[in-house]
Amino acid sequence: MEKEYEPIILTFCCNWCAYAAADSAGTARIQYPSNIHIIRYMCSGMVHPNMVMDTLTQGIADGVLICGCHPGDCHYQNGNEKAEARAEAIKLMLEDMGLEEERFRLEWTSASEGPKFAKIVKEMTETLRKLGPNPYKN
Amino acid sequence: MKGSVLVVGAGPAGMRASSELLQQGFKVYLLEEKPTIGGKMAQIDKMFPTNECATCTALPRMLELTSNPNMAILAFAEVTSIEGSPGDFKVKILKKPRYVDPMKCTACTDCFPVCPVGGIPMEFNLGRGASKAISFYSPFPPRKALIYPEKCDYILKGKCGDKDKPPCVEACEPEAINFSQKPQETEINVGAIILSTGLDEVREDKLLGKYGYNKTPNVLTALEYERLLSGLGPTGGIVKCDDGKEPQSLAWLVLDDSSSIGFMTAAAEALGTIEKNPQVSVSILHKDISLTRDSYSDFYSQSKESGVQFIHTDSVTVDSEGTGELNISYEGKEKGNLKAEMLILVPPLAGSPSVRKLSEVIGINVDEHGFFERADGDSHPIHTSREGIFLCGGAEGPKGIDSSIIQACSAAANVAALLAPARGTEIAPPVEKDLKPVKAEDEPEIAVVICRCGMNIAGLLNIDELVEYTLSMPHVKQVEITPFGCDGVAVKQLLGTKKFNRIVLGACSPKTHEDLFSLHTELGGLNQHLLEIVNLRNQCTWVHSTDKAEATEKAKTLMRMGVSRTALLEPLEDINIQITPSCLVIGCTPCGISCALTLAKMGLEVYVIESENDPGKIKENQDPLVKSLLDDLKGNEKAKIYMGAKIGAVEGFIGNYKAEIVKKDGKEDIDIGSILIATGKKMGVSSNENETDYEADLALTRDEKDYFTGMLGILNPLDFNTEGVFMCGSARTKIDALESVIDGEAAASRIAGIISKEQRLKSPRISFVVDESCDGCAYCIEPCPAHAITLIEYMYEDNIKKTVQVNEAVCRGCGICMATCPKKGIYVRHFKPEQFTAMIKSIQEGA
Ligand code: SF4
Ligand code: SF4
Ligand code: FES
Repeated sequence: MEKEYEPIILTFCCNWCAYAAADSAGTARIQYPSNIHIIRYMCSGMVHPNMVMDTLTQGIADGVLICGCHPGDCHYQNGNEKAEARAEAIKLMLEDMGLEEERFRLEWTSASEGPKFAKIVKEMTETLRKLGPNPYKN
Repeated sequence: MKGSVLVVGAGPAGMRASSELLQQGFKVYLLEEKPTIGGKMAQIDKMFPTNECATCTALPRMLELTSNPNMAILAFAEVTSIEGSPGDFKVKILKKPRYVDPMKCTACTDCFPVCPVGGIPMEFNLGRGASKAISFYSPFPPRKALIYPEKCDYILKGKCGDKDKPPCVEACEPEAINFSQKPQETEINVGAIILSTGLDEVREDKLLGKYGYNKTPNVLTALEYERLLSGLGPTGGIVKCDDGKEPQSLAWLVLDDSSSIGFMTAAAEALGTIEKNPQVSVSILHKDISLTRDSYSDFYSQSKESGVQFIHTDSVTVDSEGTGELNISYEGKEKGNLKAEMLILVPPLAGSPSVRKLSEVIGINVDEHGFFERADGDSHPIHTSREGIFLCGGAEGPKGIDSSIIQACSAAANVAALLAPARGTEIAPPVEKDLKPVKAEDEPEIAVVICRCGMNIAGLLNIDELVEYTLSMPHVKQVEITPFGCDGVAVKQLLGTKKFNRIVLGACSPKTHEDLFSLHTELGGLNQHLLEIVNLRNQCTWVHSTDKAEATEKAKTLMRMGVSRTALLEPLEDINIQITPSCLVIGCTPCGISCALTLAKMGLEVYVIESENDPGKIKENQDPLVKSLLDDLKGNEKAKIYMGAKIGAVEGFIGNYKAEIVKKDGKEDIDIGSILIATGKKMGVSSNENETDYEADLALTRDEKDYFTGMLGILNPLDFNTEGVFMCGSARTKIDALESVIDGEAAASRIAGIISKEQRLKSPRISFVVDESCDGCAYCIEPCPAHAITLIEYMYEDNIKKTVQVNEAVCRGCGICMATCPKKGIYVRHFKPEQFTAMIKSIQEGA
């Protein structure tokens, strides 16, 4: 029997609040699916939309998650606002490429929001399990 | 004279005073009575009036302090005597026993599960949640275990359960547990002392009992409630009643009418509660309150708009008969009653309970509320009756974190002025580095160290399988397992062979350990930017701890990602910026005067520009304290005052500004390292266009009320977005003369942090323009929060070529430019797109 499909999720966490949220989920031993792979970036505003799109259109991951600081908490003033604006563009590009919008998510998590981070990961993993593999795979 | 300082109390004020002093070249001892630092700021969830997450704000600062070589954190300690005089105090300190050697404890937590004594109410959570007899006091640094002697079986009975050798001792690999530890006295010698002992709630029965506190379930205090709101608290951030139910209606009763702090605390908690769950109803019962600060009134309006109900009332009775729901009836300006499932009492604030003992030790009186008293006849709020000892934050009176930060900076400035001749005399010399020459294009030869982290990593995945797998990866030459990576032994040993030009450490979080691991890497002889940390603990074993095979697979992928990126890492050198050691103060206002005088006392050169002809005639300067400061300033040879003069064009960047002074008899150019805007409240529209030119030159911003605004966040009240430029006094907010003086001193500390050194080293992880790719489209210029990018044109093979240039002195390395550029024309060093593309591609390879 073929192995059940498990989505791969690429996650960009900004170095400040978001990466700390992921760490604090760990400190509290909150369990979440192993589908996500975290990359530490300085700011959510550092993520180039092409990096997201390439990852999806090359079929490397089934979904991409960007996590940053809550509005007003970005360590570089408003990098998260930039990320938010780009998220809109990313959604349009997804549509153009025939990809479901659920394959991309932008979220804000504070350093103490480990539980929230875990919840997002669970939700997104579930959603992508239902959605099935990225059509660009292979 | 000593170049070191003792700061007593490691809350937000103490931490800030410490970091200001460190920046100015002083050695700092930061003493804290509790086992971990952070004070009340570590316990609360969100802060007013900015609604920022307290942990997000405090944690990076805590980590910065703990990794600074000139910082000694004396946690779980108290002062037992202070002798001597300003410049030379001898302080005796008593360190309480932890029964765990903090130098050996690696925070692996292997001892916790084996301890048979559990259910101990957690003091940090104000009695909620439970811990073992050996545990962490809080999630914050210093993260070292400790044993509660009044709970530990072995300490009480000489046996642990029926065992003669305690199981925690058996479980502790680094042999850190030491039952023979005794209170330990040490003596330090410092030049000055800052008291930042903080605040506490008055949780007295006679005050709170009548509302059901300690009697009725679900009646708690504001600080207790903060622990329920916090994601790091006993309920993981979900507000729960004592029976585990989530309350749908909550009420706050503000019992503190001496200041606006209690009211603001209630507003922040109520807002935080509905932000989590918009369905619940939240009401705040309060007496008459006057919100002196604009930022407080704005926050009040914000919480009101979000659905917080404010009820103005004078007397309240609480009745909990029957159902468990609380019946609250109130009388006064508004009359009525409401039902709530949870009642949060906001008691008045007093000085920390331990200050009475401290007060006797140091001979400075405290008032009936536990706040240190000022010297007789001295109106300066942070001076004490003992010269060389200063106050800040809650030690001086009830205040919010915003005001504590300003006072902390002011205290640091006062100390720095007092100890100016000794500045820099006690700081550690830079570490000698003997680095292996590595070029970016060298064939990668990677060493890998995998940390067992006690059982935290090794116990939750198959470590031998991981080692074997990692060894099979391209460029990996050697893989070693180490019991505890944080001791640096394995890293230094491997790198000491000089056989490797890259290193990967599979361990805990880079967020907490990057500074330490970077240091080990350089001590081992490799440039720190050739190190990659793979977070095997916090982001793998701890979150996939129920399935060893799954954790092992995930760890393999994470190692693959780390190794792929490492192969492309490049060595980088710190960036060195020259600093002009002087400052321009615009405005001879109370804060301008106090800032200039403080800088001059520190021995730093300052230019004061005032458009009025006689600053003595300015209304705000009539305050007796301000008057005397102005006289002192006039007599100080470090200060040059230009009256009836204006500022023309200004250009430059941090450490290197040039300003034009327009005097009646001509113009003069000055070079300065930093600039203070102390212009006072803006009066009407300026008739003279020239007057505000420098605002545009420096990209300064104002709010809708015409006050200057700058960096976001409660920790940056004086900083403009333009680095090296600061604001203070009534130019930034509604403020009286005395507060202005404090503001000015605080600004002096910020400024001295820059100009008291001839050069400034900064991280090389900033942006870099790839000239061949950049076509000068200029898209990246506007989004840059640091205004670091400019467009340039040059001739190249007879053609005009456009490109951009980055000012390395001001770039913050956020990478917003990199994400904006359509041509791969700009990237942040250490965050090169290729490095990440390789990392991302590698995710799939194992599949
Ligand atoms: S770096 Fe990129 S965005 Fe900036 S000017 Fe050059 S091509 Fe345009
Ligand atoms: S990295 Fe950030 S601060 Fe530096 S130039 Fe780019 S946008 Fe500006
Ligand atoms: S730093 Fe976290 S989003 Fe910008």
